[in-house]
Amino acid sequence: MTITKNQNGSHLDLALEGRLDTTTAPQLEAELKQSVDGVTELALDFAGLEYLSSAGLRVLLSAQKVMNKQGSMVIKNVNETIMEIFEVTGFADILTIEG
Amino acid sequence: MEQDYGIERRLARCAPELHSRYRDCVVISQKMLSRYVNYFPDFTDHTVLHTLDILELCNQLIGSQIEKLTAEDLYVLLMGALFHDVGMGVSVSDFEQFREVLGFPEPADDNARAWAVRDHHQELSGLYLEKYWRMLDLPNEAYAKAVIQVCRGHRKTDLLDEKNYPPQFEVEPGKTVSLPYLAALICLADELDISAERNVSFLYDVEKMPSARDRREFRKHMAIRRVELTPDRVVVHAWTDDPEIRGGIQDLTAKLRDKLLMCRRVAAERSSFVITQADVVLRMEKAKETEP
Repeated sequence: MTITKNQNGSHLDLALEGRLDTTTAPQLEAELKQSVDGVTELALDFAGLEYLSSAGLRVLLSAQKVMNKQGSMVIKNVNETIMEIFEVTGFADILTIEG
Repeated sequence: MEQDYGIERRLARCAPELHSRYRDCVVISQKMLSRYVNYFPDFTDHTVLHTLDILELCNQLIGSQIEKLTAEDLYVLLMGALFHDVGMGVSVSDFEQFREVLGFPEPADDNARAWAVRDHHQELSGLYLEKYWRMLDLPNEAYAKAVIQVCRGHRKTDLLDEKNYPPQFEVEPGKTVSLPYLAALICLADELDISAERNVSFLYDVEKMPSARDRREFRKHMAIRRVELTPDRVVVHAWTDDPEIRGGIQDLTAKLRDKLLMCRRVAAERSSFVITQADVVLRMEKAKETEP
């Protein structure tokens, strides 16, 4: 998985490409841990993300909890497969998902 | 009940990678299980509280034999505990898909659908896992098959069937799990979780439940104060003045005894493990009043 980072003041965009699963979730977790301090708007761009599993969902949930305290988090450009995963797991109710 | 999650702790120590996969699934399981309330607002608890009871009961049933369980056994058992009831919370679209696989007719209304979910939930859990095992980061299809069989086995399934429950089921080259014993543990623990601790009275407005059957079932559970596991037997501690509920508890105890004996036989004949409890006894006695 590749993560492309784009920061503008307190706005952080992370574009993910590939698979967010048990192998790659620690990579996103580390990136968030390193970058999220002082961020009030976090946007995760899933346009290039092909697949998401439970390990990735756990990282997203942690990120959502952090951002609930310091601002907001949005997930953008979610494909059909990943949207189905959000829906089937009930995460669609927890996360803010755009298009 | 004193809680001890030795199974989970041991997996964390023996196989951190498998433990991490298990941990990643906990929230998904919680979210899925909480959906059962949509179907059954007045049904006995099937949320994470029930999962915790199952884990604690498995822990007690296993006892010192935990040393003999491999990391793979522990992982499959924990995943079985998390997902055995997940069929109660499948989405409407998944239900429709799974219903066709199982070959039962389209329910006439929401109520009929709810009862179909309840009656077939062990199979729905299996089909859910068959569809989504990759999303749950199970290490491979063999692990998925093992967890599916443990989940299916918690009700209406023949655990002595050697084809579906081989004593040594290979999940990785050279690594096997004791499928019949693991399934028997979840099956028995599920049956043992019948006391009022599972259905805390203030969570349910029993007297306002519209169904007489639900009210009766809840009163039965409320009357069972505790289920105690001693090394050689299971003791059901209960009290009620109501003769109908009393009769219901006696029937329930008999059913529990049958399930215990069946699971005990599965362990004895299909594994190197034992279930030491050999009987279920009912203690129908009033609790002693305690000072506030």
